[in-house]
Order: sequence, then structure tokens, then C-alpha cells
Amino acid sequence: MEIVGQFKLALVALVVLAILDVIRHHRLTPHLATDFLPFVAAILTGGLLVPVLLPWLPFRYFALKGMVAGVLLAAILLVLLPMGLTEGVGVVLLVVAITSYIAMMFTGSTTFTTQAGAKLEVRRALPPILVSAAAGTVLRITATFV
Amino acid sequence: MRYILNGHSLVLDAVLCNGCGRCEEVCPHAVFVVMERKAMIANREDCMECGACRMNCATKAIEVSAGVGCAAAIINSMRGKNGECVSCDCG
Repeated sequence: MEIVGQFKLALVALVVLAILDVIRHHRLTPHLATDFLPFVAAILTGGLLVPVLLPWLPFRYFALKGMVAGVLLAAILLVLLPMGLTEGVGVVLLVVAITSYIAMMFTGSTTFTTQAGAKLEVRRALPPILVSAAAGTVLRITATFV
Repeated sequence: MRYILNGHSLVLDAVLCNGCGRCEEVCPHAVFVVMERKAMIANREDCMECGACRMNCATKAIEVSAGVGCAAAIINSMRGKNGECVSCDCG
């Protein structure tokens, strides 16, 4: 459900990345696949890996559990994919924001979360997630032009 | 597993409690223990504030702020979706 729910996000990311690819190379290139990979990996990490590893991921806040998974994924992506500094920082911020947000959505799928706790988590985690996503988007787009 | 603020709003009035043991029976996380005809909160940190104990307490000795512990539902209500109802639309 969480993976299906993020399909729209993936589609928007794909369209934006395709536009950036055309701007940079004046046509669609195979780079688009590697550009899109971090988004697919982030959605799968947040939607599949986080719930599977839930008891073993540190912290009680689901968003922090997602952040831990996101940081690990980002480290792997930085090693595997050739990225400049601006693009790399942008991708890290976006990946961590996506995994953290999707992980937080799993609070409703468990038998031990409370409404007061979920309210506190949303209040504390949502602003940094939004800032991270916005900064990541700006850096990722900027990286096309530098 | 435990979350944040578990059992935060759970209050048991020992004076009103008649020790019937219904709370101990219905609690999915064994939060209550009845000893010497009185219920007591033994594992507050395991409470998910589902409200089953409050609903089943004949003497109204239990108070708890029950609700769905779902971030998607909280965000929906913040966005004004579903009006006053805190729902994640998952059915």
C-alpha cells in the first residue's frame, strides 16, 4: 500500500528528471535510468525494507527508523553512482526525506502506536522532512546547470 | 515493541474499581493486573490507548484518550481532509 501510494511521487520525479535530462543533453539519454534509480530505491527501502527491519532499526520514532535506513541507502548510492557534490548532497537529502516519510506512514499499521505518540511524531518529524525534501529538490535541479 | 508516549493518558481510579477483571481480559497488551479485587496498571509502557478497557469498565474507573495512532491520519486531519475525523482512508 505504501509503495503503491508513492507511485505518483515516482511519476513526478521521473517527469522532472526527464526534463532535466533533455535540458542537459538535448535528448533523452540512458542517464535518466541512473538518475531515477535513487527514487525507486528510496521508495522500496521505505516501503519494504523499513517494515521488514522495524524491530531491529534503532529509535522509537518511525521517522528516525526510516532516516537510518535512508542514510544507509544514500551511502550505498553514493558509492555506486557517479555524482558531483551538488547532485550527491541533493540525492542524499531527497532519499532520506522519502524513506523517513514513508516509514512514518507505517505507524498506522502496527498494534503498539498511540494517537498522542503519532501526533508528537508528526509535529517533530514532518518539518525537517519537508525542509530536507525541498532543499534536496533545489540542489538536484541546480546540479543540472552547474 | 514500544512507541512514544505509550499509556500517557491512561488513568485508573482505584476507588471506583470493583475488581471485576474485565480490563485484564480485554486488554490486548496485558497492561492491567487484578490483585485483591482491585485492578492496577502493571505495564503502562505497553498500552496502545485503544480504549477497550474504558469501553468495558462497568464502573467507569478507567479514562484513556483513545484514537488511531496513524501519522497518515494525523496529516490528513491537519490538511482538513475528512473534516474533524482523524482517518487515514485505509478503510
